[in-house]
Amino acid sequence: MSAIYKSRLPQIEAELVAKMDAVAKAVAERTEQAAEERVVVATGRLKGAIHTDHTGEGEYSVIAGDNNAFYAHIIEHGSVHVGARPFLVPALEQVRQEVPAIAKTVLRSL
Amino acid sequence: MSVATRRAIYGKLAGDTTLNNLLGTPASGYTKSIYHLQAPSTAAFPYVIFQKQSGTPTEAFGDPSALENEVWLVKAIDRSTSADVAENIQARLAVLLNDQSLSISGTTWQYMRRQSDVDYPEEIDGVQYVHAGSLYRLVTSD
Repeated sequence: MSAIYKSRLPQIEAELVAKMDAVAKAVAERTEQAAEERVVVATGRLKGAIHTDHTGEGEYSVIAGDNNAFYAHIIEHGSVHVGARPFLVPALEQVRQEVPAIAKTVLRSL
Repeated sequence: MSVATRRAIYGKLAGDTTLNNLLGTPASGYTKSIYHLQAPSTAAFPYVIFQKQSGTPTEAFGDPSALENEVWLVKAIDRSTSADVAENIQARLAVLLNDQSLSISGTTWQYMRRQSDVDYPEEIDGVQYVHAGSLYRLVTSD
């Protein structure tokens, strides 16, 4: 009786870049969600303006703000008259701890 | 945890003559122009604001909070159209805090490191203010 072992390394190599991009995307989207959960809401404009941009292969940016909500930095880091109510840094710090689990989930299919 | 940490940070800043010579006259009831969270409305510019932005426990050796991982915002605010003064204070804050030791009651300091800068202008009723400081990562252990 004989057995044939076939290497999956070429297949893994071919899929790895796309999978790592998927990990980065999942982490960014989780960060976006966590930021939305934490941001103080008055009008909802800032919360609605938290979004994720694909900035390159394996690179995503979580952005708070747009042309209608330009004041995210004031909320995050404070004004002369109102103290900071951070939401983006805490979201990132929270999700930082979840990265191994997110990566494991995405990469399991390799 | 935060009380001891902020007292340690305040002590570090309040004890530095160079920094305090860059700041405005302290508000009534305060000895330094260094404020936690929010300055009183009578505070003279420029002044320093500091606060914890984030805190997360980190597990090590089965202890779920063996390490405390915090991010602190420490920044200067000046009422000016120029960032020069605020940036000078920002630089002094970095000298005092970046990779410098802290004596925190009840915990063991591991490191405090400048992570990123926080610089932006703000205009209120036609008056320009400048914010300049940094986010510092502070790691302590049980």
